[in-house]
Amino acid sequence: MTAKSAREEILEDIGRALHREGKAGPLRGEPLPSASSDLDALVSEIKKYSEQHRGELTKQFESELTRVGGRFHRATTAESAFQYIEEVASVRQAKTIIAWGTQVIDDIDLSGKLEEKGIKVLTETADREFIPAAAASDVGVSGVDFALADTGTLVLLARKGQARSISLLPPVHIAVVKPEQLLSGLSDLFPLLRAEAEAEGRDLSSAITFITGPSRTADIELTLVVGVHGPQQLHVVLLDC
Amino acid sequence: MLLTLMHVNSESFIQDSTVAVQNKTLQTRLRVLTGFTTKRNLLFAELPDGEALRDRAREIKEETIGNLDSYLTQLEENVVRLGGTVHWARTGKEARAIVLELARRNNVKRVVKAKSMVTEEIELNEALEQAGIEAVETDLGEYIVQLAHEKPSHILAPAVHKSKRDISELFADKLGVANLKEAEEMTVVARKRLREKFLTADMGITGANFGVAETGTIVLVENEGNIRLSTSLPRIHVALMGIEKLVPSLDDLAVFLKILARSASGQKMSSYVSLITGARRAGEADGADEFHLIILDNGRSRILADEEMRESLYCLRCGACLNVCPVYQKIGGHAYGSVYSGPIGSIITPAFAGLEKSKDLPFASTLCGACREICPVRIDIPRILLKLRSDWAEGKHDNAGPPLLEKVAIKLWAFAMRHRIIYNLVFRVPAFLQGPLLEDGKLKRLPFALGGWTQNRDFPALARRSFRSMWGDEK
Repeated sequence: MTAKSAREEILEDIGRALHREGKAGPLRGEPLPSASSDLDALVSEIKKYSEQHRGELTKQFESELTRVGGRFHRATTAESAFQYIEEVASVRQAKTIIAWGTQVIDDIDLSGKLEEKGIKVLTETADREFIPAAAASDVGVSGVDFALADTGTLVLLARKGQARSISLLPPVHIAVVKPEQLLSGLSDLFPLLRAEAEAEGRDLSSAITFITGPSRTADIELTLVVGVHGPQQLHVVLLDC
Repeated sequence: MLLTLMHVNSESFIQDSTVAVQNKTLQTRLRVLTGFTTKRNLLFAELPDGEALRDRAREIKEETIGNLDSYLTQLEENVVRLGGTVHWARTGKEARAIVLELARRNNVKRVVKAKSMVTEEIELNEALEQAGIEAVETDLGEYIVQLAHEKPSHILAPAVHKSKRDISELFADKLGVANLKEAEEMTVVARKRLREKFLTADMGITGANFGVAETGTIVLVENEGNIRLSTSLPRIHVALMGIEKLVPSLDDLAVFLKILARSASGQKMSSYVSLITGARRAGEADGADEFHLIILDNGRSRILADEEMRESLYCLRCGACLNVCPVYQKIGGHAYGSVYSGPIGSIITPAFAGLEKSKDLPFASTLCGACREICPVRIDIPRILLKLRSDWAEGKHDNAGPPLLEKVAIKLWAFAMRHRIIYNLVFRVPAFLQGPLLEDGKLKRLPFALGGWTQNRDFPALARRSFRSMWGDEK
């Protein structure tokens, strides 16, 4: 008789502990809020709510972001957004910026204008040079997939063109948010994530990152220090145009 | 025969706590933890539905733990479907072997580690070091205790027992950087040293704050960014997860994310939360190439089988109970001699290491209930402490129990308390005879074995007349 595998033994031990005769019991029957059948209805409700309360959500997001040490800039033109980014870069004496390869970055025409000022703008590449390049960059510019107003949180999905390192390795992270990406909170986020995944016929992204303020620690005498392993500065530019 | 699954030094708890309780410096360090509790209370008061969220969190855990096998197989299915590998480990020994085998097979020389209680529990670092693999702790607090060759003393703030001066000296000694005075300067040095490690590591090892069964997702919560780095840069990501860390769905996860950071560190949300679903997908520029999940039992199914102990599996490892515990505040984490200290440690250490080795831990409590009040999932820790005391007194779980003399004395006492005449004698006679023992109208030193009770407190004198007899007169 062959020895039981660890998997078999553990599942059996659990089954026995729960006084189950035979197979594992059924999973929870009650339908979840984002169960498929109601998902579409829920998603439209969420989108409608976010649209109708956009002003409030923006104010709340700015307040929460500032509370956790992030900086907020509202840009009513692409030009204004660009100028803010350029200013941050020049204060840091940045030589290299690395950016997502997505539409929102193109909309600001980051590469074109900054190259003129002598600042290199890199994007994601598929080779081994990418990570060292990101590590050597002074500023990372990304878009976001969503922003949560109740906690000032940015939600970034890992995808081609949206590399994780860009919002992680450089000491400064600037995130460009569009107003329609604002949601009230987590309970609104998850149904949208599922709906998106289902619509695109894929699983959840390999890494969904919630960013709430810059990196921090209080490990030394519980003294707050901002900027440990992740970015030291977080800027959010609301591209409202 | 009880298998000891976790190595502890809790046998010396009485000595260690006696020393610690006199350590004023340690207590000054620990006092800062009350800041977490103050912020936590403010944030919960702000929430319109804070109590309802805690109730909901509790319900979700009850549902999940009550159907744990189903949810674990669902999680496994999803992880495998996404191209990840799931390993099961009955014991810490098996888990270590799995990690070492993965490291060997993939020619791993350097590992970056995120803060993970489970990896401490199974003493993974030692095993890696012995195999010639460099395992670097990347959470700043863990990095500090690793440099000092110490164990972490608090779930959230592993180096809370160390002063700035201690850390400055440590950095001078171990890193060759002298004269650092401020926390910021020291953090900058650590950032630089560790950035180098992140960029050259072959494997990143993390725990898991939650596993989401419906999507095959591992959830990791942090403030520093070391977890994001450990899961984005090295080519292999290994996550170790206790069987109890599951939640059924993303909607359930939302409930926990709302209360975890508030309970742990008084933040609405920690700086970073990473939802990792498998390895990187085709076309992505970073992320691990391989994702491995190790599901660990190591005594948890045993806790599960004990219905009175079961709710200790709901623990989120937030550390709030440590922060409010008057005992922890005085003795710190090391005195417990276990990876898990404080109130939660006092109830799960006996389950992992055996009651015999850790029998003093359930007794190191005033049963004030502060831990029960603050626990986000409402674990009734005092009830379980009492149950463990009772288990010990009855010699359960192969532990020796109290010495024979004590057992006899307790039986006699119980008998006396149940019989009115003997009860009266027990109090009336000493009240008559206590004269010689009184000092300033108090019993400052009880004789013989009773002396333990007056070691740190004075007893009032026994009254000459009992209340009952005075009441009888009034009537």
